[in-house]
Amino acid sequence: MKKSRILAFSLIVMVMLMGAGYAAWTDTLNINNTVKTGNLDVNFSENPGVVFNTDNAGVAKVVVSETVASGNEATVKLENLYPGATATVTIPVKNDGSIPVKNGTFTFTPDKTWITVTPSSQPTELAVGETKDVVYTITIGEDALEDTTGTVTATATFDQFNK
Amino acid sequence: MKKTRILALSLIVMIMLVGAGYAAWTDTLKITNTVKTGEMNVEFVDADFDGTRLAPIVTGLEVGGNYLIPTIHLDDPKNITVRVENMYPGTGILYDAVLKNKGTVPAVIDNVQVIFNTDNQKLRDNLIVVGGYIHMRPGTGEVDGDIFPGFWDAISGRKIKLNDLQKNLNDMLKNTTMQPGDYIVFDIPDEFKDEIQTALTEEEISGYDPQTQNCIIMGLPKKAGNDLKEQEAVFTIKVNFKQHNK
Repeated sequence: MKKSRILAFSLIVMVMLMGAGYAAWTDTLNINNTVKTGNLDVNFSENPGVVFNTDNAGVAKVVVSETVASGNEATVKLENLYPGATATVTIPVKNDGSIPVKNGTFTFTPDKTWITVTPSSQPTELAVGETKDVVYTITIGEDALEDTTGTVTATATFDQFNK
Repeated sequence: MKKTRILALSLIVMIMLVGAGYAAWTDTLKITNTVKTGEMNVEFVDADFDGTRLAPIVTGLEVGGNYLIPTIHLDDPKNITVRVENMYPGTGILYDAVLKNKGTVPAVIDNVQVIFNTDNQKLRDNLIVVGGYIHMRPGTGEVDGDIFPGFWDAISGRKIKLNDLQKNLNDMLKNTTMQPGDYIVFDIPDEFKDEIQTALTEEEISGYDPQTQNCIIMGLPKKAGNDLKEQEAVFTIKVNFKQHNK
């Protein structure tokens, strides 16, 4: 009797151990996520164009080699201006990103009192792939000094459309 | 414990929301404009563009005598002083000056003023003043030229006294545009020299040789009376320039 009990007990333990190996079923589901962000990218798309006052008669000039635009930077260089001269500058701005942008308003800051700047067009909102011009007119005041250099800087920060 | 969990969850949500506020994308564009002004500057110079006419010069018009005392001096680029002493009937002086636009913008003659520092009505009414100009441009040569008095002045009675000088100079020079590098020489164009000689001959002012001489000519007619003895006039000819677009 004792032997049969030991055997039975052993069998029970064996079955228990075997059962522990087969008793846990599993399955796995996978959700594979790919998250790719878009791009907010606004650039100047062409070199600036400049038109002087109608009676300029070729006196004021654009320094062509230094009037360029690329990426996020544009430079405009004008020379031989005089009191009453005006220069209207046009620079195309393009949304090269993948989401619309807004709040793109240039703020102009001259460093001389005899320079005034009047914006007439701003690329405030741009859809994806859209191009708009920033247009502004620089005017030389009657109190301008001869043979003097002044600078006007301008920046615009574009925000994503939903902010 | 439940309250603690609620609090922890709330804090996590708050932090996530705050993080979303700072994460907005931007892009910034910059434009740099450089503006340089030109310069307006017309000056008296000592020669024309090819160096054939030296200036300023003054010569006495006097035949059979050597009593005139003319002098001319380029004081500075903006001022020339001409002086003649001991002028007497039938004599005169001629003098030349050369202007150059040394600036970078065109200069337009707005007007000419004759301003008397020491006025003298007798000399205003009797001193003969005639002259001309030639406008020259390097690379082009002669652009324009004229004399005073003009053709119509001759027909109407030839107004050539000192009193007429301001009007004559304005009629001749007003609105003349000097481009950068241009010269104006107070000279008499070849085609008008005979006319000038005729005017001087009529007033019996001798010594002018149209073949070799030019310039502004001032003289006292031979018929000038005794009331013109020991007279003096001091005057400035101011040539005022303005911008081309004014």
